[in-house]
Amino acid sequence: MAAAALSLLFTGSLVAGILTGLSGTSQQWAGAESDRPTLFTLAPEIAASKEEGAPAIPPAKTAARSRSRPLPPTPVFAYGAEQSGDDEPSITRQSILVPMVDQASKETLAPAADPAESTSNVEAAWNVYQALVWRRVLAHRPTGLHMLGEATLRFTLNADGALVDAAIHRSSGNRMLDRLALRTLRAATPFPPPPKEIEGRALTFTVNFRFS
Amino acid sequence: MQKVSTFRASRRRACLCFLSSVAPLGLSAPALAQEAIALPDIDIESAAGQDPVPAIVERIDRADLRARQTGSSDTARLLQSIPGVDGYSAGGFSTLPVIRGLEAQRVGITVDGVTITSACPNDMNPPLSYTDPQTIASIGVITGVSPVSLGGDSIGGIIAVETAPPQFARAGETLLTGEASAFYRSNGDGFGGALSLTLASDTLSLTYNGSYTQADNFEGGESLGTVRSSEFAKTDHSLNLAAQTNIGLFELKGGYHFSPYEGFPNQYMDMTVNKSWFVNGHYAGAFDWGDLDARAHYRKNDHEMNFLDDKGGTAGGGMPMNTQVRQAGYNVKADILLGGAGTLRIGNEFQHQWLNDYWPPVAGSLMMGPNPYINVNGAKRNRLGSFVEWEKTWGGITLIAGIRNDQVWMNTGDVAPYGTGMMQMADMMAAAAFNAAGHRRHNSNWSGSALLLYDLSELAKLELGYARKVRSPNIYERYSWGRGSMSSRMIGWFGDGNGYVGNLDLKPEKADTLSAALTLRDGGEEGWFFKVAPYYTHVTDYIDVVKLQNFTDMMGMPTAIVQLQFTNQDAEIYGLDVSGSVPLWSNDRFGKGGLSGKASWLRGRNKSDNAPLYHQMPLSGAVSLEHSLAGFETRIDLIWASGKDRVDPTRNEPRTAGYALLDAQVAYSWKAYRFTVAAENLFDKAYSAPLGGMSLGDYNATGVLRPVPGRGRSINIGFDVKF
Repeated sequence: MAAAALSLLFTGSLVAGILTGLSGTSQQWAGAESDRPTLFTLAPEIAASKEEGAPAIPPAKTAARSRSRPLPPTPVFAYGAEQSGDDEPSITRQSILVPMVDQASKETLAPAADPAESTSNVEAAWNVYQALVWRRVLAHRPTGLHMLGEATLRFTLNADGALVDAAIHRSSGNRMLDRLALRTLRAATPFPPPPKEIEGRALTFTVNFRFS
Repeated sequence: MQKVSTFRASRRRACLCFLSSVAPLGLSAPALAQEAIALPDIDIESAAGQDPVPAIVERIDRADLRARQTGSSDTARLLQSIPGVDGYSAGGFSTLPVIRGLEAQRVGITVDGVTITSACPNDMNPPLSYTDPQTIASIGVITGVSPVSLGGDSIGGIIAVETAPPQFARAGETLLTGEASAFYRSNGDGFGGALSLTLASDTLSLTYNGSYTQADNFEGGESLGTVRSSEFAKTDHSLNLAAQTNIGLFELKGGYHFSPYEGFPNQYMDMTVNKSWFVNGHYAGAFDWGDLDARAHYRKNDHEMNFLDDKGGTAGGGMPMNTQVRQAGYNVKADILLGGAGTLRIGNEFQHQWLNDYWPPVAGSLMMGPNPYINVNGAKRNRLGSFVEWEKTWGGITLIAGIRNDQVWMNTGDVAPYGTGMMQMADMMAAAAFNAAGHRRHNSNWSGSALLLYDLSELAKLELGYARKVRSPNIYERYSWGRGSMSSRMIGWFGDGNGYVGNLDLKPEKADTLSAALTLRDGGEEGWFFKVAPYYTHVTDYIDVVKLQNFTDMMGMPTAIVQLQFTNQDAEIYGLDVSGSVPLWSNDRFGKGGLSGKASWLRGRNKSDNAPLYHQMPLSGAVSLEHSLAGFETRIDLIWASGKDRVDPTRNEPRTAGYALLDAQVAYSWKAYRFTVAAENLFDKAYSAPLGGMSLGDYNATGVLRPVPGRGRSINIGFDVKF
């Protein structure tokens, strides 16, 4: 009993240590002032991603530029579809998993040699999946409307990645913006099914759409 | 931790259970009661406008304009920083933009979603002359093939200007924001300023934009001296009321433009008054099935030409020429979301233009009287455009394909010369012939375009496009009729001093364009990029000119100017635009430095007479070094153009010499303030812009005909504050 508790404690603190170390580099691009957790404090490599079509997560603000160069396009999933025929981004290009998981595939993880490695693989897969869901919604975002508001949606996916529930969690105050947020979410379906490692988890997310 | 799957009861599962509840150790606890994981925010910014294909649009945003508004009040001139964009010089704020060899009305230009029709035989008030860089929010330019949804009745690129987009406040708050700017330019003693002010609640927004600019004659470099007839003044004001409602965004914008004078160095006439006011209503809504965008507008132009002081003034009557234009139209567009099958875009627009152009008689003049010269008698040009376009994105590929039809109806009334005296014989006969012919014309123009955007890899993107675009002749190309020396020289926007005669039998121009672009990019906004974009355009029934006669002097000797008539010929233009930028250094001590550059080459040929097309920009480019440190931004530009040797013999086009100019600018930003000091043409180099035309104002005063000099050295200072 004590051994089990100790090993759990050890695993927990190991994961916590990894998380804390990695989150140290997240400040400069944590972006949103909200104190909502940003899962990508776990994955600073995303910020360093060379990908310019999909902005670094959180999205890079189009800060004032003194050159009239073409703006990076709104994300149209710059990755080629190489895993399957559908339009999800190729995870193999993501560098977030470099220290944790074999880049070749998120589906087949090497069998964990010890609990610590397997749980870190699981957490990595969980983060990857969240990133995937977020990017899919981002890819379907509309162009600017010159309307201001923030609408928060709450949605749930089932084990196949299908959308089972989507609702306005906090309205923007404008029904059209709320409608647009829901439409963007529905356009992003179907989401890919979650990987085996995180099977059984509740896939309930909230996402805040900021129209400006 | 709920909803634990009971499929696997392994130890790993138990670990998972525990871990998922302790996992957010590096994160603060979710703000929600349930364990819904909060994804990062999705920002939808309106700054990018409503481009259907952001990837192919070159955008100049407010920050870019703020950095350059000190140097020029001519929006079309500021666009020349984009590879492939040049300009026919004209008055101080009326440069006619050229994109890849196709100019002015061949380019699809909109201001706040509305096309502004030309209202002058010399095209003195093109759409961009109604804008001021200080109050523009953003400009989108497409130099290559563009989707049919962005406009019809044009065969070249697209320029879309957006001013005063509405801003709203957060719920329960009031927003008061704005920007004020001012500038002074030593060359020509130019000065001006602008104010933008927005007052908004969370549902209503009121934006005011106002600007003023004026300058005296400018000076060319070194000993080229003053360029006569280049003074100008104008003021623009607009008010935009917007409402953010549950069914969408509503906007009502109205504005007024007044220019008391604008000298045109390369025209015989100057603009002595231009008054224009407009109303522009807009609705945009998003529904479950897609988006809807509707616009309706009306504009009234009153434009007068005569001689400013350098060309003799109006003490002796001058030569008054008045043009009135009324235009109205609507524009409806729907984006229908087809789910996995992409987006279907359908649209319809109607543009009505009425133009009346008459030249009042001058008391005591043998030639200009006793009757008014009726140049264009209440001409109407109506266009009904419809399009269907499909867009789909999958993997790294985006495909946009569409077809478009524009119905153009034109008609005009009978015309009359000044009188029936000996001096007016040529015009009398021309008027009789014109009035005997039918004037009603109808064209059904089919256009189509297909664009493919392909992500080759993380670093490389490829764009391929093919378009067939059709443009019907404008009112002056079809309905100008005067054959006399003086009356024909009043027509034309080419700045060459030649006389132009219209042609009732003109057919629409049909252009087939192939364009491609390869963009290599690494490192995001702080990284490097390189873009190479070749293109080829073949225009069937290109409206060029044939020579009718030489103009002879008193002795009967031919002069440098000729009389030409518009006619359909075939032309081809091909070229290459190259651009790139690379960051040089970035550290705390020395700030950030970068180098960027562009170069453009094109070759245009009239296939019917096998001669070069008129006003082709020779090989040209720019290299810029930028540096920023603390609040300082420094910029040094080297702008160069090689000599123009390919000239159109039909128009007696002059050659111009190559040149290189150095511009330098330092700006200091402190809080919301920005101070700019700039030197344009720092070494006061004497040069003539290749597309500058002939200096007719100087010719009038000195008898010497020379190309219009480019601007000599100017020290500019500017100030800008955002609040």
